[in-house]
Amino acid sequence: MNNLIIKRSQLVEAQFTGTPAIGKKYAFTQVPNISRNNIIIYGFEVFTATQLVTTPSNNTVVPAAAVNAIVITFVDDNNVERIYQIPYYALVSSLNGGFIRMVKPFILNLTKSYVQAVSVTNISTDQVASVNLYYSIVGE
Amino acid sequence: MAYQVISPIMNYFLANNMAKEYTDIEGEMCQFVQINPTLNNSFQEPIYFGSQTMLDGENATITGIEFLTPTSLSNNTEGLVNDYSNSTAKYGILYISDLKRQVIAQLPLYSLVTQNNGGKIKFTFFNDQVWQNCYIEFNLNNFTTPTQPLMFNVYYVPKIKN
Repeated sequence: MNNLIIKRSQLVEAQFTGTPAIGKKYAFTQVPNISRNNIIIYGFEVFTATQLVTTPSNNTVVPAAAVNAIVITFVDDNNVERIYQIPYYALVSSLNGGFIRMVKPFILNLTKSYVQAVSVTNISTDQVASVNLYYSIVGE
Repeated sequence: MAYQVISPIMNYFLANNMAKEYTDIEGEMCQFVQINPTLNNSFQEPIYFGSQTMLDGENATITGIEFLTPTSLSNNTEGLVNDYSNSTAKYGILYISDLKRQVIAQLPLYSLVTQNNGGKIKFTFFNDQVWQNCYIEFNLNNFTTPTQPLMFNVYYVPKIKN
């Protein structure tokens, strides 16, 4: 069985602003360097507070109890929802034998990608879903 | 003779250094690296590694990085205690930077602990790094005993030069 090799990575986050609501789309905070449809992602990993308490932006990461209450959708440069509502749990490496989820490489449209809560019991206002994108740069 | 069927997409991953067998060798060589936090390191205050030219992209491809907790190494060879377990790792992020100090990768320390990954090392393929430009940031000051170093294993493949 194969595991991903990290060539480049970037932590991104989507914040549950306001009172968290089921089904509402929470967009990723924009990172100018990678928000110009200029990266090809081929894998990703997410974190709960067990793995990463706060992000580099000093936002609190969602607790471990919320790991089965979030889904993520990644949109490509053709505005196609390439990864649609994938469960957060499936992307936590340490909960999946140390494997990192790999996908067929695609150009990410971070601006249109989002997360959704399917239960808000364990998610508090302003907590974030933290995602480490594994990518290469277009043309590199 | 045994044959292995590999899908085209998996073949693409393997051919482009994007994936490899998880039981594969981590690298040709391994370097133990340690770094001392300072007492007052706080949020987004980088702790830089010392120069290790053999780990620079000019001389090596870094193929794996491991953060060592007391579970795997209790002390270093100088007898200093490894104080940093998962309870510290979950606050830290390792940044890999190049000569221009552009960040190549951000790696949360927790995910670099092999015990947290079923014994699997995080594979990397870094070619442009300058080791003394790499650093760690913590989101909380945990360092009541900053004389104790943080310890890493860095696996690499030396680059052959003329």
